[in-house]
Amino acid sequence: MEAHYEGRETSFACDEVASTLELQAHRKGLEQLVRDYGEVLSLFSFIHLGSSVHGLGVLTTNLEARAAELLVATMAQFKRTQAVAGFHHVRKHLGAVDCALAAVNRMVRLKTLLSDPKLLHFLSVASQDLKVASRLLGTTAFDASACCASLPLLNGTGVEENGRAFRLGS
Amino acid sequence: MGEHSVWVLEYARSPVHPVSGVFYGAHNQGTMNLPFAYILIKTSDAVALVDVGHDADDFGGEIANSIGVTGWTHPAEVLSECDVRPEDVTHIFITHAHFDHIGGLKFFPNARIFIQKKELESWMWILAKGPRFRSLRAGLNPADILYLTHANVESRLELIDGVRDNVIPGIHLYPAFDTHTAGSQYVVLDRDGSDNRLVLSGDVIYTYKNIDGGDQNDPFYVPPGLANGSQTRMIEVAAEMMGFVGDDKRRIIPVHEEKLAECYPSRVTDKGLKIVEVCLAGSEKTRV
Repeated sequence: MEAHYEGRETSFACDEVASTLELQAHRKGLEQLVRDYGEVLSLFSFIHLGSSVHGLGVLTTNLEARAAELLVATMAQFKRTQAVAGFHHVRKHLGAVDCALAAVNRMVRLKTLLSDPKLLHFLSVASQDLKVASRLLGTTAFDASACCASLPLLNGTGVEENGRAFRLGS
Repeated sequence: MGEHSVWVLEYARSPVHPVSGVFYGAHNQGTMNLPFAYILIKTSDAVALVDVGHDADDFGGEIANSIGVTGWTHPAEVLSECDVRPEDVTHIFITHAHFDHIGGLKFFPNARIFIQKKELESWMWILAKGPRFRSLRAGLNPADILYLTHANVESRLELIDGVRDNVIPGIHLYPAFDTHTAGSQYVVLDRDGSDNRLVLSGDVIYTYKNIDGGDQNDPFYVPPGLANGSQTRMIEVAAEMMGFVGDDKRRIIPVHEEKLAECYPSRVTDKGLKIVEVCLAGSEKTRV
């Protein structure tokens, strides 16, 4: 059916509309954020585990350094996405992840509250919201492109593409 | 008849798993059907699982989708075929921390969880090394680590350092370090003495072809292609397993083996999933 706009104002501004390329780039950026937050979540979970299991805390300092470095970069990247239109629902959940992991980071830096149930609470909140964001984007929380049998690697005939022999995974 | 009943319970499958992931060096040989399963062990006073599958409703489900896994079925439904409820499970032996082996932990709220300490240490090391090492963490799911943290707070997590004999009477845990993953382990189950053991191999052995190379007359080891450790270590540990079972490969139980049903009694459930009955205790009724 042909649309008719006679006598109407057809020009409009909407911050939810962007070009396809912009949307694709924005989506890729959000997918990367999901993975980065997923990695931070794993790091903090291991830090918690390492703090409470005898003999498992050897790498805690390294994990804390990596978590802090990644969290700063990820939070900065998240702030940049706030200036771009679209994916409001995803960004809302990533915002909740961001807040929860920031709270965890503060507690880890204090080093006195690792046994605090609040820490697990914040980690669980981050996990739940990250899961929703991951679902909305249809992506994995860790980069699974190196996972065995990743479907994009198959050429539609169920046969692996040539020249991609190094696939690690489950 | 022994004191243990053992079933292999399929919970999902991949119709498009690359052959090269299952057999080292088998490049450009297409894909194969690969069952995803866990093992149920019942004794007179324990209900144990070797691995727990993944949770389709969690990050693991996204990973599973991305690699073509289909037909996931909830553990309550899978276990009901053997008249077991998830809350009845008392022990869980995790062979390694890939999402399809550890991701279903949350379904078993009363179970004690046994995993090699080295498995967790290695994942910590990989994460600490940063993004250039990220190919080593494929198959890891952040929610699973968080669940282990919860389980630890509830005093249900037990880290194993090497061999653990009689974790349940007659059931032993053995390390398979630097094989499929850095801290893999496998389970040895005694039945009626040492000449009748079973080995539950985890992913150190995917299929019987990993043990005999597909040559019954002149067998040779072909390790799985997928390994964070080395293929040499995979072969060494496969040989160790064969030592436990007196060179009788049928008593090694690889959960990804499609042909298990040709070795043991089996049936297909209404959901199209296979149940393989490896052995029955005297008091137990058949489920196939």
